[in-house]
Amino acid sequence: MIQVLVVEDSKITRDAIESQIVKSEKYVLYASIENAANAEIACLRGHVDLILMDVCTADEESGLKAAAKIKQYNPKIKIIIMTSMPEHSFIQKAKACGCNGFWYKEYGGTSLMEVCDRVMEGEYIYPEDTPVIRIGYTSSKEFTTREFDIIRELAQGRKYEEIAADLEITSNTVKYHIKNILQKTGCQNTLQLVAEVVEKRLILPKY
Amino acid sequence: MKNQTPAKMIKKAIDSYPGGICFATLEGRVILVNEKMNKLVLELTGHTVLNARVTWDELTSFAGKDKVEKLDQSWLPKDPGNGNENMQQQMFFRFPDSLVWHFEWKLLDSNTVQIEAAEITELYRLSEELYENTIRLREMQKRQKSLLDSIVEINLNKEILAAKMHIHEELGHCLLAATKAVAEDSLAENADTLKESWRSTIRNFSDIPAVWTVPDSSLQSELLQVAELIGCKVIFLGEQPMNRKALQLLYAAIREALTNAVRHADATELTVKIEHNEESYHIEISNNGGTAVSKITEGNGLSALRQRLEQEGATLKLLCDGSVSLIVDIPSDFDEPQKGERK
Repeated sequence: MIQVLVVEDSKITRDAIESQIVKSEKYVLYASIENAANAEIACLRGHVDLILMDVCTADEESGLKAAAKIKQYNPKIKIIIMTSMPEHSFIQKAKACGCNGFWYKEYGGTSLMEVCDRVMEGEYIYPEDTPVIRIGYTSSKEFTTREFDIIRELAQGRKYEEIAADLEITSNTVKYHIKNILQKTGCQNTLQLVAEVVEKRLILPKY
Repeated sequence: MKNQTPAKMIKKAIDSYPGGICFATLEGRVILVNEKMNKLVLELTGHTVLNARVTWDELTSFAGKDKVEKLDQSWLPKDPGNGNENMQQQMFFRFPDSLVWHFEWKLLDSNTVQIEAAEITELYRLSEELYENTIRLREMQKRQKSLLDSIVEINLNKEILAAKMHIHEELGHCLLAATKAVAEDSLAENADTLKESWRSTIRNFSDIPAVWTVPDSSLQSELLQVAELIGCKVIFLGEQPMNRKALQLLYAAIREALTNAVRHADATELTVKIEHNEESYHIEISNNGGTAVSKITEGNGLSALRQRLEQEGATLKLLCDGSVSLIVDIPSDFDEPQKGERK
């Protein structure tokens, strides 16, 4: 039997996932926790085969950061990242950590158990793209990678000079990008822009 | 005649300069002053520039006169530690004609000073606007940060609400089908379908496995139960901090110590000794691991923990006396709002 660790801080979602695992004949629930920071400890004595990991977990601990740590010491443990957030960088981060799969709770047609089966057979299962979200007059797919970098920096409360230093560009280039973003979205100012991208969960800087 | 001509020409030239200018010795003896400077100083002090040092002192202690206003310099960008205070000083005045003049005292060499006055009305207006915008921007940044702090909480609530709506929807379908069957008097015909539909709905929400599940999300309980699950007991000696921030740091340290103790020393017991005084919590985390250690190299985990602790004003020391112990000092008083605190 495949031993599964569930890391999910929403009780209802957790219960639903546990219920599916119990019903299946291949999987057995090893443990179910709310805080991703405790997942590495749960894997220490080698009883876990598969982790279903939420991204935003209890005490603001990131499932992606926890997954990276676990993969470093236990590369054989399969990890599937689960999220309901359309945050544009999550898929890339999950791939960079070496996670084996990625499942959107609210988008896409593949069931979680199907993703689990395919991952356990050795496949890497990722959605083709993040869900498209409307931001003002435009959609999230209209932003360039650099524009996402700038919005992420703004969402962290950075000043123009700090953004320029972080991204190794000039302040004028920062202003140029911001002007373009505001034009695309129709937002009046950066505060309105950040409020909208964060409210729509397109960018969550803490994770 | 030959000597006087250049002097007159110089005087004429600086009189035609639109701003005020005055050159003087360090003691204040005037070398050269133009008409505009004399006119401005006359309006401010009631006399022309007789001694540059005395004039500058008078301007410095200027308390307002005949609708002339000395402007404060709060809108100026801060330039701390440039060390130029003794070489350069400046003041701003708004005259009755609403024009703003900038006066600057500058040491040119070891014995010569220059006082210059320049009309900067437009620049002053723009600077004031910039200053106000900067303040507004700071406010916006504050609001932005507080928005970010609460967004995860909001998202979690949304997620829970969505799940609740899903449950209501499923139960609603069953109820509707049952009501319809009763109304149409077809209960007997549809009994099996209805029964199966109710069973499936209830099973989805009640078929919760009887396996180990953490009962709540408090910082303490989940970590302790996970530790027990992998066969390592955490024993506390002393009182734990009440403040959530201090608790978060304590548990981050315990987590790291526990991971290392099990991974590298195969420990089965972790002891957390906490001593508290007015200033700080002194915490010693040790384990009963069997592997003898004489030296430790700080890896990613410990470095990250050290960085996190030091960012919050706490400290971390490693003690190697056979086994490895973590010594953590956390300040008692965290001046931190209890944002995002749950349950």
